[in-house]
This record gives sequence, structure tokens and C-alpha cells, in this order.
Amino acid sequence: MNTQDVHAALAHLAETELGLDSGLDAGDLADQLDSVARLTLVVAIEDHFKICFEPEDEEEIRTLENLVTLIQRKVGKP
Amino acid sequence: MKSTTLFSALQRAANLDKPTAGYRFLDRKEGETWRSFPSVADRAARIARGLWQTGLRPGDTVAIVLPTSPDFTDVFFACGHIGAIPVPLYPPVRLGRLDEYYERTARMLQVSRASILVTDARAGKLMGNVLPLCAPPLGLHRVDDLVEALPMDAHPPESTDIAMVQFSSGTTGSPKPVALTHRHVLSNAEAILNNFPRNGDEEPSGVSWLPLYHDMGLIGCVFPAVLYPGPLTLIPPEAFLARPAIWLRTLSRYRGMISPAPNFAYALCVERIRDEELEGCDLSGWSYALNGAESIAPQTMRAFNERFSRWGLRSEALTPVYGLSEAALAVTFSDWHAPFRTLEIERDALIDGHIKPVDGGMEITSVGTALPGFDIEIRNTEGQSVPENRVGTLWTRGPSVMERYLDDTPPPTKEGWLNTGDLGFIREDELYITGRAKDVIVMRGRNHAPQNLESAVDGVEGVRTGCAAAVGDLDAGAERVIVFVEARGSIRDSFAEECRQSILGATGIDPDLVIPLSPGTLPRTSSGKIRRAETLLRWKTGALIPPESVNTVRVAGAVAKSLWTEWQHRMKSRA
Repeated sequence: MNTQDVHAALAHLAETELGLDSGLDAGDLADQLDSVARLTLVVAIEDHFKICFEPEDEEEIRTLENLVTLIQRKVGKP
Repeated sequence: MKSTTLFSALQRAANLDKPTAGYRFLDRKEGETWRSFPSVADRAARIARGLWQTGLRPGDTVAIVLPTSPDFTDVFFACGHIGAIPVPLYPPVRLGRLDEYYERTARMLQVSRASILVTDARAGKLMGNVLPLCAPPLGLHRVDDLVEALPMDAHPPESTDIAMVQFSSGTTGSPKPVALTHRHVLSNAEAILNNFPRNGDEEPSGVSWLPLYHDMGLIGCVFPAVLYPGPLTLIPPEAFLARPAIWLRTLSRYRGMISPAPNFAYALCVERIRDEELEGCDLSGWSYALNGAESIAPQTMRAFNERFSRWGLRSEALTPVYGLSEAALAVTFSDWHAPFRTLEIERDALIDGHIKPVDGGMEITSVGTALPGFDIEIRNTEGQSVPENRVGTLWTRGPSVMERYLDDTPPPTKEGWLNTGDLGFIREDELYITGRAKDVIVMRGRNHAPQNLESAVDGVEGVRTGCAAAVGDLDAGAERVIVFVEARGSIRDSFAEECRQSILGATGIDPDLVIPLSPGTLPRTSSGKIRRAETLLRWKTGALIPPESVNTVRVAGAVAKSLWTEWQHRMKSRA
């Protein structure tokens, strides 16, 4: 799955699950979303991409870019 | 025979071996694992042997970092088997700032003097990072490694021994380890159970998604189930928060009669559940939808009732309650048989402490009357009891009121009475909570120290270090968080938004309002401490005035207003 597709899917999830019309910003996710929103997002991502984040995976996620990279690694790059 | 400890309660439930009694654990996909009480008692006794072999002895504390799972209840009861003291701590928050989580957990391990840390394979991958900050003497162990082939003979505790430790923000904000004895927790669980009317032959069954490190989840659900004994279905909290419909579907599927939650959960259901997610659901069996652990908004309860009555929810099911960790859990319950009650009062009258009902005034929810065995009293600042319809500090006494903190911090008690730190009044024997004297912010049922929000803005350019006040405002029904920040020099347009982001990033709490102020505006005590409650009160009455010129007042007020408008606009566009 290419980067653009992952970004598009994340923007869709941010809109439908979190009500964020403008999607996620490039900065630190913890600065944009409260704990419930972060949890909602991670569950939505796991369900959507049919992947499962391990605790050690989540250690490396701070920004949108980190998240996209991890999702690509989990689903396998094209 | 009446159980005097959690250990004896579990043994009794195991011996009764009722086929319908036990814990049912759901996973995120709603698959179930059933654990009867004999199987809980058996595995607990085998884990107890594993704990003993690590060197753990009666009176030692056991930090438990486990998700909602059979592991949690088995380890918790294993502690009781050998007279050790369980301290449930919350597992890592997903996508959270883990460095901060490690530091907080290490502090809690230290304060609770944890001898050992018990976790599972998943959380264990992260918990190793806590050890360099605070290493319990008996180390970190995974549950699976503690289960021995043979059960261990019990070292049963006494009713006056400490049964568990739960963290509370007390009246000053910093988390403190409340030491609760077996007598405390059982008397509260019993008072809750005895308060439920029996619906003929129907066996009461509970449903809960509340975290097990939270008093409402553990003392309010897990303990009454073993004491009764009856069935309790447990949903992982993260499953509820991500997909709230799982709560209502579970209530329908297992004919749940009793299920508590903080106010925000009811609001989340209204906002997030779609009709199609409840296809075929029947909520008519839900007799007791308890609402407590944070400020109760009548608007939320009405919206919840209107939204879900189509699925059989009955309006009288919604039951406001009041309690706090220092009293183990519950103190008051409202009437089971009637819809919840509210009172409209004059806002100004509330400020001067005399309650005057008025149509169209500020609406406050009754949290009912004291549970049998408990007393409540409203006292003035001199500590004297005041009559009905006067606002003051709520004090309570009863069989589950704490006696000490584990770290020997002086408890907020006097002659058996507990200072709850909450403000309220009593009218026709019913309690109404109006605010908070203690410096604690309650969000989503969890208490937060205001200091954490205040220190989070220190790094923002222009903030006067140490000159911020974070307060929870209960006036709007659901609690909203307001942060007052003193700024140096002129205040730029983005100042409030930068403060908001900084607070959200550091604490996970998104403040509803950030109000920039001129230097010296925040009221302080003679020793220089910021008076948070006074700050809020002055702001609401238009008396939060900087010490300098009128011009500064006007500028500060105008800036606050414009930022508030801008911020509201921004939130609307985000929603």
C-alpha cells in the first residue's frame, strides 16, 4: 500500500471516527488528540487495515508520519 | 455465613458453586470467556503459590498492571489468599506518551511501596522500561510464570487488614494511596447490594466496561458479584471507548440489570452510537443505569433517555449516585423507582451560599440520600454544620470511610468524619453537589491534579512560569476544564491555542477554555499559592481583575473574549 493511500485512509478514519474534517496534522499526535480519540483512532486503524499493533510498535508512534510508516510495514508495501 | 474478607467471600462463592455465578470476560470482538467462582478461586490459589515463591509475604504490596481479563481477577484474589495487598495500576494508554506513563507508574510504585510488579506478556513488553525508574525488590513477573501446578494453603487476612490500595487525588490534587481494609470494601459492596430492590425471581446480573483499577469498576462491580454471588460481564474499557455500542449490546445480550458509568459515557453513547449498531437490542432489562464518579449533567441523561428509549430503556433506570475513593466508593444513591430529579436554583444565590429555587435557573441533579449506615453533613468553613439549603463542604461518615493513606499522609478525616472536598447542599434529605473545594479536576471519571495542566504551559513563550490556574467548572453540567494563564507583555493571537496544545500534549486533557490574563491577576494566599476555586468564582462574577490600570482590564477581557470566540469557532469547524 503506498503512502498516499494510507494518508487517504487515515484522513477518512479521522473524519468518520473522530469528526476531524481536515484530517490529522503532521505534528505530534498527542498534541492533537485526547486519550479517548487516540484510542478510537488506533482501534479504527486496526480494524480498517486488519492489522494489530504490538506494544513495542506503539513506542515508535509519535507523529502522523510514524503512524503511516508503521501501517505500511504491517500491511506490507506494494 | 457473612463474609468478613474478600478472601472468605470468594471461598464462599466457590463453595456455593452456583452455575450462573462468575465473571464473563468479553474481548473486543465480543467473544466471551466464562470464569466460574470455583475456577477463579483455584487459579488464584495457584498464583498465590507462585507469588509466595518469589518471596512475597503477608502485608507486602503487589502492583498489578493488567488489562480487563481473567488474569486480573485471579491475581487480585491471589493476593488475598496470602494476605498481600493488591494495588491495581492502569496499563499503558494506547498511542500515549509512554515516557510520561513510565514516570507516573514509577511514582505510584514508589508511593505504594510495591514489593513486586505483576503484568502479562503484552504489557510486560513495555513495563520493563519502568524498572530503571523504580524497581520493586521482588521484581517484575508475568502472570503465566506465576501459576503453579498445586494450589497453596491460604494465609487468610483479618477483616481489619488492608484489602487493597486505590489511588485518589484526595483534596490537594497529588495522587495518594488510599489504604482500604476488607471491612471497608465489603461494607461498601454490601451497602450497594442491599440497596438494590429484588425484581422477583430474576437474578441480578451486572455489566461493566469500567477499568478495574477504578473504584467503580472494582468495588462497585467485581466485589458485589462475588459477594452476592451472581454473574458479571466485563468489557475491556478500550473496547467501549472505541465502539460505545458494545456496552448496550452486551446489556441486551446478557440481560444486564445493573451497570454503572460516569456521565461522559452516557454522552459518548448519544454522540457515537449509530442505530444499525443496536439492531435487535432490548434494553428493557437494564433497571439500574448508575451515573456517578464525575459531575452529572441532566441534559446528558435526558438526551440518553430520549435516544435509547426506542430500544426499551426506561427513564427511571437512570440513577445518579455519589461517592469517592476515600469512602471506598458509594455514599449516596438516588431513588430507584423514580426518574432522576433536578432542581433549578438562582445562580447568584449559589455564590452567596443560600439556595433559592427559581424557574429557569441553574439546573442541578439530586444524587439522592445517604446509603444505610452512612451519614452526610454540610459544614461551613468554620467546620460547623449548616441547615438545609445552605451550601458548604460535604462531610460523610460510615463503615467504609478510610482511616489512612498507605504513605502516612494525614487523612482528611476528623472524629470519624471524612471531608469529601466537594461542595453541595442538602434539600429534603437529598444531596446536591454544586462544586469542589478541593483542587481536583475530574474528567471521564478520573481525577487529575491541576498542577499537571498548569506546569504544561510553562514552556509556552510568554507564559509567566508558575502563574497558571487549572480548574474544573461544574456549572455547565458536565465538567469543563478552564485554564487561566498569566502572560508577560502583549498577548499574541495564537497564545491560548498554543497553551491548549501544550496542555493536551502533556496531559491528554483538552481544556475547554484557556483564558490569558495580565500579570498579577490570579488571586493568591498569603504564602503565595494560587487560589484556584477563588479564581473561578471571581471570573464568573466578573471580579477577576488585574492589579494595574483599567486599560489592562479592558485589554485582558477583550483578548479573552476574542480568543474564546475564535477557539469555539475552531472547535466547531473541527467537530
